[in-house]
Amino acid sequence: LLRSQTFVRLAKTGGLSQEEVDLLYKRAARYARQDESTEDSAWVDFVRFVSGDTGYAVPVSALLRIVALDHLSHVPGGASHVPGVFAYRGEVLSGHDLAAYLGVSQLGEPSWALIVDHKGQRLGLLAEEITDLLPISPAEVQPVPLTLGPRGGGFQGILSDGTLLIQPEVLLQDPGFVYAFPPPASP
Amino acid sequence: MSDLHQELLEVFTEESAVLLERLNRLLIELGKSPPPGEDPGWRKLERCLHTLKGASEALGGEALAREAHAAEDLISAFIEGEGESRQVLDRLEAHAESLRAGVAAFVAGEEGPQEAQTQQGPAPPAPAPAGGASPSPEAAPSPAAGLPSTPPASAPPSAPLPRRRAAASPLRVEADVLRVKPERVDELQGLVGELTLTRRRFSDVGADLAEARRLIDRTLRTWRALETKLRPMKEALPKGARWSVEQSAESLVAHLGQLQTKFRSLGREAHSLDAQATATTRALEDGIQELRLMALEPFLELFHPSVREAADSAGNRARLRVEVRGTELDRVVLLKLRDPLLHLVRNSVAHGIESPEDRKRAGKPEVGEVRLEAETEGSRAIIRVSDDGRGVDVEKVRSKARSLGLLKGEEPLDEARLLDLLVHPGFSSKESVDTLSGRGIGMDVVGSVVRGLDGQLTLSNRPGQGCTFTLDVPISTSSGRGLVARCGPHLFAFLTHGVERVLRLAPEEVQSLHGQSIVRVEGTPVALTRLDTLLGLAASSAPSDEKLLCLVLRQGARRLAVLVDDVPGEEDLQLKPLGEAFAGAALYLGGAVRADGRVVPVLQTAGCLDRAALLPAYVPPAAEVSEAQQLLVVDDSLTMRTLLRNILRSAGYRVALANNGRHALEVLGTLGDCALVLSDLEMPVMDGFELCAAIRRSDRANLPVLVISSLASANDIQRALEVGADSYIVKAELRQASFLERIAQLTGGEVSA
Repeated sequence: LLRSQTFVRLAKTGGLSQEEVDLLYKRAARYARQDESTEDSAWVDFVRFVSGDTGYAVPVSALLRIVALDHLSHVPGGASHVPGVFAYRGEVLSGHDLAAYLGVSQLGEPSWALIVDHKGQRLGLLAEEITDLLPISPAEVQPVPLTLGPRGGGFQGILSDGTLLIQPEVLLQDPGFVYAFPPPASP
Repeated sequence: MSDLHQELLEVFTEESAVLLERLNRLLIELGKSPPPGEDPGWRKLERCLHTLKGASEALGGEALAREAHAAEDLISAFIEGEGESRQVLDRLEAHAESLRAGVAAFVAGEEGPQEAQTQQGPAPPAPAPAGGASPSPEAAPSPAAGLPSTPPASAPPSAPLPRRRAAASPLRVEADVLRVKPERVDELQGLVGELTLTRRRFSDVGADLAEARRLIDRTLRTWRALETKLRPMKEALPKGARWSVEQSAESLVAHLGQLQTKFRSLGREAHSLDAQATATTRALEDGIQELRLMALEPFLELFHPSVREAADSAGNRARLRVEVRGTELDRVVLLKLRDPLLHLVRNSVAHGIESPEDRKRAGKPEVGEVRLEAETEGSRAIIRVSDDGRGVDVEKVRSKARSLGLLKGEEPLDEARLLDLLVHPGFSSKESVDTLSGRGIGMDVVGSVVRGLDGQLTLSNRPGQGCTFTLDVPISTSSGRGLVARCGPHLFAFLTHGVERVLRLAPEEVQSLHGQSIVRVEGTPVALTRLDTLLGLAASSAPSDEKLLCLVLRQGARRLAVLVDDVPGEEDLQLKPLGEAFAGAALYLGGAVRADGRVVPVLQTAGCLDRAALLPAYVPPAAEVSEAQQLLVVDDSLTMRTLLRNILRSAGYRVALANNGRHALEVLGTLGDCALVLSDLEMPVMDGFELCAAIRRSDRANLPVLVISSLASANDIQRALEVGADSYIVKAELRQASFLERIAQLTGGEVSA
């Protein structure tokens, strides 16, 4: 676009008519390459992982660390999507199962925890497998299926292969996702 | 705001907290027996105010500076011989209150750097009213210095005063005090915990090294034995070949010998390093633990203003007496106890201490006394809040309990039952809100905070002479000795103070009493349940002919025997919170990270005892397992719960109980199966509408819900059905036959009664 505008400015100074300028402008626009720097900035890196039989992806910017999960200690009595806890750098973090949260499938034995942090809210997303690092452009992202209902709000979209893209700033603020038990009423 | 100003504000926040605390202590000290003007205490007070004034001026806190200046002038005048000491102290108390509120507002940015918004000033010159001079607050101020509180509404604004020169170095911080944010200490403790785990793994590496050395020793011995056996064969070899074999054998022995020496030295070094690292990490753990401790005495002394204010509001006279025997408590425990203690202290003044006239008639001193006493016993702290007032009015409690359906007829009310009623949600909240000027915490919160700390609350009532509430809490919530128990593949821990003993029982020692399984502990029947049932886990299949292993849990007079699969042993536990996700889990104190990195959830004794009271009875493996359907009854009325439970049990159902919506969700989580929820609508904490909606959102979305409510309007019925109720019965129209018929329809069963 910048190049086209430069061309138009030059053409104007060369005494061409307005029609000629418009025609040249259209041609220039057709043949001009997209500005690569602008295009690059729209790409976002995601880490893709599998939970249940569904693929999910979380923005790298929201990830604190990915840790191999030696043991997930079961904490019974809570919501099924928060089956237990694990130790991380001297802290105890809750492990959250997206498959159970969405009710789409059953998580197998989790081998990994993706530690996410949003405004001090730190928890682990449980995964059976970490698949790849995936740069995603906005053009690839389709709207979340309506059938996910209100829980779909925690995702920014879906890829053509069914990978759900997590929206951490929404998901980690959703009490339905964060809490295994209803939080205590503040006195 | 510039970085410099922000930094100065942080320093001011710390310094003003120190100064306000010192101010409060000096006022308390002087107030015990107000001395004449020559006493050095007045000068100390003046210096403290002067420093606070200087610090405030430096940051543009003009109103604060004026307030401190006015108080300073008051002291100067008194030292010069003006005024009477008690009245001066009363006025200084009012200034101190205003300064506390002003500092909180200033730090929170509610007062501009130059333009003061607080309306503080010297207390009125008129004599203070009896029982304390602090004007009545609009809201109850927090006892902790530096915490926000509303300034006295009746205090007139200060007259403009000539500005004095600021103190030479207003932002100086005491050189011998290093202030560290509590979160930083928590982080350090987390890292020290991780270091301890690493050290333990290193110990394992040391043990592996020793094992490798033993293996080399054995290899060398085996080789020497083999060499002796091979000697005749070597003799038979040609000379050249024999020389080559002997050379190789010697070389092998030499290498093995070197390996042996190397491993011996490595083993010794590893052992020594491990011992050194163990001592260092232990010292670090202890050091960090100590950093978390806070002295109780200054904390309890901060309740003086609350007693004065409560007495002013109630129109009586009271003083606080604090007695502490060298006690320090974890900061987390102290902060959790702040509101409950404030509630108990204010309750003592408002409801316990009589009016001066009544006290005089009863032959008591006109000024009532509230005592805050604390002492430590091992890893526990005992805090008592007592008063010399009228005591708990048992008949009033009885009458209210009856009106709420919590008590039937002339049931005897011993102290334990009295306390049960007082801490029942909703029982005392109305009075509490009146007394605490809208703080909204009641005795139920006191009870739940103490229980949440794995503590115990007891009451000793002396009608006409006063009462004592005793809080027995752990000194620290971050460490403790625990007993680890296995249940199937899962490990759980109990703090040892809640475990009376571990029993090994023959199956025939399990008896039945009124349909409940019990075991006899020193002749006393104790209810028995399985830990997996208690936690809602799938039952592990232990052979019925084996000895049963059970832990006897105890809290006060309550006892419960809990069957487990194994008890691996006692351990030192470093407790961590289970994270935000489990903040509402009443059964768990936290999690302890073990050397292998595994987290062991630590269970709360009181929570387990409460839960056991709601669960179906334990059925020994030999007995026939009931095929009865499981139902959950949710109602905040004990009468209604009991009524429904009896009807349903007699109709052959298994019944679990919950007293509000949140509690119901917790109980549901522990029930393997549930055929129907019967719920009231109007309940504290979480009502029936919210419960229905929560069930529909949960993984039991298809669980039928029958609402049984006294609300009879079409709107209420419509709303309940909209949020997910399947059926609705108005309480007034409840008839046993049709009720059971409705249940059978909803559960897909047959009408059995």
